[in-house]
Amino acid sequence: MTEFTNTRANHLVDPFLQVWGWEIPVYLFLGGLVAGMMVIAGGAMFADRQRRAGSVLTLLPGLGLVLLSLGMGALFLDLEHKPFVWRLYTTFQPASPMSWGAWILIAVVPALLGALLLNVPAFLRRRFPALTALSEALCAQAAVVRAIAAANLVLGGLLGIYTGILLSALGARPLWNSAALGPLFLTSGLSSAAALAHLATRDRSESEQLARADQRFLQAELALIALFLIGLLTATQVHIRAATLLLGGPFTAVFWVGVVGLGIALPLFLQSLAAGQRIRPTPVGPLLVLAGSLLLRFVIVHAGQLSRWGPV
Amino acid sequence: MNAPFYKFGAFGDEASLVIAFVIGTGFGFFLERSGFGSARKLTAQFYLDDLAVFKVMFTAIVTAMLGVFYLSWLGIMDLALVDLVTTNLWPQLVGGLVLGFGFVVGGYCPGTSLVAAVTGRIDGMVFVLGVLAGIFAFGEAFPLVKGFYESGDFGRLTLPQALHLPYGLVVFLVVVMAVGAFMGSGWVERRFARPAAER
Repeated sequence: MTEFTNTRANHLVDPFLQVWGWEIPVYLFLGGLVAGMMVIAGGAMFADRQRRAGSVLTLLPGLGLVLLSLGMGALFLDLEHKPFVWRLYTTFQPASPMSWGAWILIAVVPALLGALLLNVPAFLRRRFPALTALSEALCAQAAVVRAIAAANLVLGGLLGIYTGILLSALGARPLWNSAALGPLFLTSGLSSAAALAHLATRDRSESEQLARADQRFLQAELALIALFLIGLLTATQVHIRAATLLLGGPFTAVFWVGVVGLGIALPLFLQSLAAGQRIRPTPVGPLLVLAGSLLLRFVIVHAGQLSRWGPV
Repeated sequence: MNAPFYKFGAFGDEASLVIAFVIGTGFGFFLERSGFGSARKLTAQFYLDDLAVFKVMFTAIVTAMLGVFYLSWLGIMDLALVDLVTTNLWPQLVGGLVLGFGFVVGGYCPGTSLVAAVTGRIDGMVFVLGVLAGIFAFGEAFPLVKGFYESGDFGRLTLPQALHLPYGLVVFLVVVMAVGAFMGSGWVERRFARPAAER
């Protein structure tokens, strides 16, 4: 007797689901980076640290607006029906992370603008002298400063964690079915924001503070990666199979060497050597953190699209 | 026989890259801790007043050689499965001279330049960019130099084969040579020592 398997013979039965290219990882990276910048700037506003002359933290809101626009540009490029993007803003669906994300992306703009107005950069003051008076009026009201700081902290946290929840809510992709993904992306955003500020600052004590903060974020990120993998490995067979994409599968080397080794462990090690004054402070650590953070999004997005519930 | 582990399937391609990264990082760490992230230290060997590079590298080579020899002798490692690049005498001689020239002029070899770059030395970063540019240029020009690159091919050639001597005897001779070289290098360093101000 000859037995035929006639299901799934038509390639159209399985839709092509690896539809996300470079745009989504880049957006997730820039969104996370801006989220981290908002949280750090918000925290500094509460501590009144950003008002120190020459502090790099004063640049974060303006830079955040630019990076957020680039990230949203990448997201826009990914949209299939670009002319209808405005429809996202005709409704709010509390059960949809994408709807949350669309509104959070709009809500962070005034928070960033408020933070920018508290510390208007010199070139903007020269071009728009009225901004100086507005900034001074805002800074004179402690409640306004606290409100802007709180808005940056809360909305930054939401933006950072939403980038992970956006993926983890997609049940069809087992690699993303982890509650650790949101905190992981938030922590990664915080570490990359601290690294970027660390790169840009010229103030020695601020540089040391940012390096210490970055080290804590990186340690937390390592712990969250461990939790992410443990969670998958102790779940269903489908999730275990998804985890093997990073544990022996095609993404093993890029994940462990690129993301964990070069993006987290080596910068941690270099920064601890620099803190102990065994090597001179180097921009290599922060640069590796930024590259590792971007790579994390690429690996998770691409590996996640390969993971599936059905037969491999 | 159960080594080389990769050849016997203990792990796959992806895991081998992770292991290579860990070993490479460890190598880089010990290079840095030995002071080999400094171009001054590295180039001092060409002025013969500090042969630390020579001593460390020769020690590493002899240690690895003895390790491989004894592992093979004990039946743990199959030497026939250890990868060897083929000997292409003339291009390798020219390549060695080019690398040595670059080493003297730039102050680093490729590995130590990475160590220097990672620890924040700008000259190391520039050197790494030069290495990458050289690799790119060589890759693009490869069709032009392919004939020379493949010339002088002796295949997988080892010292015991080339000298027609037993493997163990060659190992012994290299160890004797190393001991002699270490003793001689101490004398050379004292002979060519420069005042600290000139270094």
